[in-house]
Amino acid sequence: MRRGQGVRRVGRGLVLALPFTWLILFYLVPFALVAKVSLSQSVLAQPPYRPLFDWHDPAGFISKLHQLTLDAYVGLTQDSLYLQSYVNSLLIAALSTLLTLLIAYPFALAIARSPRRWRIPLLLLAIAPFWTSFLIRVYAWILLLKDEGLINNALIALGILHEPLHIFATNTAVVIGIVYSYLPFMILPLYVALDRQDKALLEAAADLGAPPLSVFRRVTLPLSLPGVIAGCLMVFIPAVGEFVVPDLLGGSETLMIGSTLWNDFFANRDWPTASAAAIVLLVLLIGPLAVYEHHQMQSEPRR
Amino acid sequence: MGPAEADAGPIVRIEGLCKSFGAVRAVDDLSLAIEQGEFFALLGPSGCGKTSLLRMIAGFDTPDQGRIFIGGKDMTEVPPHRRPVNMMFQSYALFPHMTVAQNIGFGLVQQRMSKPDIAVRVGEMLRLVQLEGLERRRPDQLSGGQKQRVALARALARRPSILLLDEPMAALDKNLREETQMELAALQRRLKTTFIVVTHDQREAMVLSQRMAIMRDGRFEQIGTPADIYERPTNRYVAEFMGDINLLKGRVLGHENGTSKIATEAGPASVAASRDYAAGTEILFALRPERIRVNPARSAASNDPNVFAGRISGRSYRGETTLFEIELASGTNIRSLRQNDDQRTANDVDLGAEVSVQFSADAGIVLPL
Amino acid sequence: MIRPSLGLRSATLALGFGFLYLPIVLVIFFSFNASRLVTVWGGFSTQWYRALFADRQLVDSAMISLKVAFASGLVATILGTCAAVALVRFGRFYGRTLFAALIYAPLVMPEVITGLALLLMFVSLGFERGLWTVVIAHATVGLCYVALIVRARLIDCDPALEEAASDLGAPPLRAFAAVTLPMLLPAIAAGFMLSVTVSLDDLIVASFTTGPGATTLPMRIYSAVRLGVTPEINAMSTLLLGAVALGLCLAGIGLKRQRG
Repeated sequence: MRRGQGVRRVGRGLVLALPFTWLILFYLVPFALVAKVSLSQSVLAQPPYRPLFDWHDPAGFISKLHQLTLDAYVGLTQDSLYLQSYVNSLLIAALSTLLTLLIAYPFALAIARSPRRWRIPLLLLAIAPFWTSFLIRVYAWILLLKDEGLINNALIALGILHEPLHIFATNTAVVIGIVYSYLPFMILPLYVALDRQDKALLEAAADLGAPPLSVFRRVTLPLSLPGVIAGCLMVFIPAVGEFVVPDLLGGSETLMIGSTLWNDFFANRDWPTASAAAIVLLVLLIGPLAVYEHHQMQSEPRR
Repeated sequence: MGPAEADAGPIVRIEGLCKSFGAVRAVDDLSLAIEQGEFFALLGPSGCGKTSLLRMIAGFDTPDQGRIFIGGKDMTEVPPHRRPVNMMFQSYALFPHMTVAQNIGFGLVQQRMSKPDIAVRVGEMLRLVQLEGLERRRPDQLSGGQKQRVALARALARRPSILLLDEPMAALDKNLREETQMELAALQRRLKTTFIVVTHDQREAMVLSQRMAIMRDGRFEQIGTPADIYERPTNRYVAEFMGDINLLKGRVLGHENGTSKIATEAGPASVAASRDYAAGTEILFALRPERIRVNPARSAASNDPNVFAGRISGRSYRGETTLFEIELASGTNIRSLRQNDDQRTANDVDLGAEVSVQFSADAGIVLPL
Repeated sequence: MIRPSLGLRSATLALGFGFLYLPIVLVIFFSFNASRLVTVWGGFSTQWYRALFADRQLVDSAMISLKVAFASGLVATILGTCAAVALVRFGRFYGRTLFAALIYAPLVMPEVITGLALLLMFVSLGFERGLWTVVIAHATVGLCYVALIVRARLIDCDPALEEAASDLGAPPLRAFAAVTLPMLLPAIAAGFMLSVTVSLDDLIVASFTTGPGATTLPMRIYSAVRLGVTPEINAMSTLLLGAVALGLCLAGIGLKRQRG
């Protein structure tokens, strides 16, 4: 009996330790490194920053502390490019989140209120585009939105327009791209929240005199709020740091922090600045991230 | 605003109602009239169609055929939010995102009642169900019994003409159930609202209702008062559904002077006149265990015309009653229920004892086979 | 009666699906366009498909992407399943909040941050960047997807069943393997497929963490798209779409088989 229990404890320990250590090593610690690099000096070397901690000379760490510098952060505040990127990213992400919600909600509601047999197939069909290449789907919008693209050609051919709409390479194109790409992330939590609603509650509301619109306003909508919050967070947070959409569909006026950071990293080889930018982005997102984590914890079953 | 004024007709009338779900006929050509102020019960096993019928009266499902008249008006096509009917749900269906007061006031907000008036009515309802002081609580902070009362208060808040109750006691435990049944019956008498309750518990139906309908497979087996149905069942199904009963196969021998003679598995018996059955008809004789007396074999002769010899083959003490199983001389088994109301406490009749089984002429009823 | 009318629902669904699938349909359509120009239909042709298979670089990067996807998917599935079991069955333990936070974070974290952080980690550890660093990076993100899917299913599995098994003499691992694991298999498979998909599709994290000689397919496609729209990309996407559709159908059939 005792040996069995010992084995059991080791087994349990392993099951927890494997993923936990992996995540600490390859997710938690890396963030600390980003902070560290953001405080380093930029050098023309490989890697392009002055390392503080040397595996071969651990003691030297203390003496090197004086090399910590806030240069990178100072540089950020002085660079209007970065300031603009942050503001623009937050605005575009917020607008995209709102639009995604407005499109996804009726869609998810329609699926959740369909006959039971159809729900999962319809949901899968709605999520299926997510399984195709993100890059390709964004690229398809290039075809659609360019000045010589399909939408403009169609509108001109039909006589509705005489001049093409300049959508491509504007903030509008970026918003459209983000909304389109992130739609499945909003549909899924909304669907789960709406599908879970007890039919009896809706019937009770109708029984008590509420016409369908009132049932929606007073019962369906308030009860779906957790799903709305989850969906909005799952769109907003990653959208702020989005890179591909602004890079492919945006232009010189559409500055988003994702592409600014990317350029600083790959083109300018300025790792400390890029790291500082990442840290600032993380700080900006701390609020929404905390709400998101709190929200997820609430759905944890209590033991 | 109160229960509908006494029109000439019944408050709920259904005609030829039919409803199928896929291949299953849930409701099969039902017609019924329920009078204003009645406490009416729909009783039957699960799947008999009673809940389907209730839901159609409420308006949540539309019948495939037939019509529903409420207060004299044809309401078959009317959506639920426009019927003068309110329902108390089996699961209570309390809105989790609203307080008790908001739940009860929900229907009143729909009626565009003013806030002060709503507060007054909500207070009234809470007093009615004895839950004063719980206005600000949320459903997840309430006990099962409290939730039930809130559901009831909510359904009554709009002073509907008709209140529908779907298995109102199903989620309560036994002691609470009996207490609540009495309260509910008293409440209905006070309010004079028509109550229609759906239940699978025959005791509950008898306690609550003034009239009830036994349902099976979408049809009514019998409609009547609880006493009618219990003491004068019209067929085997109803007789067996309503509590314990002995069923003896038999044949009518003849009729004379207000009694009929029948031959049963137990032996010849003399019963109240059953002229509907001609001599020679094969019948079923139904006897409730509480109408059968068991005495030690050597006790004094009794006044009952029907006396049979037997032996106790089983006995179970149940506190207020004792159930005997007797093997009669003819080989048939019969059950007798005795109230433990005097000092004899059944010690005079032990397992294996020889006994005499007796019942009066009107103790049982003749049923078709 | 309580739900929105069929007409309203159908209209909403039609609009929604139209919006979702329009770009995809277009890509398929133009992959068969003989003309190079996207805006002009030049007749039906499969030339771009032929060009695709002739393009060595594209095929090579496709192979690399597949290797990375399957390797990282495997690691992610094992770790993710362990994580799900720990979250659901281990009750409260020291560090649980941190553990859960680490599992939920990758799902929303902007990829540029994740990519940058992982790269710095590899540099500081002295790992030579290449195929394996991408595998590690993808496994880290994939782990979280698998954990969430398996967790959702595991919550519905009654622990009483395992208790019954151990009551009948089975040691804990066998109880789990015999009772719970079979019930989890569809969720584990779904998690694996999702992790593979996410890996195949990833551009940003891969760009940060890869090294010479390990150019993944999305990276190749991205650089091609930046240079200008080439029709081979349409052909490539249509093939990918076909593969995904096939995968979904097979999954659907597999699910039906299990049900009945």
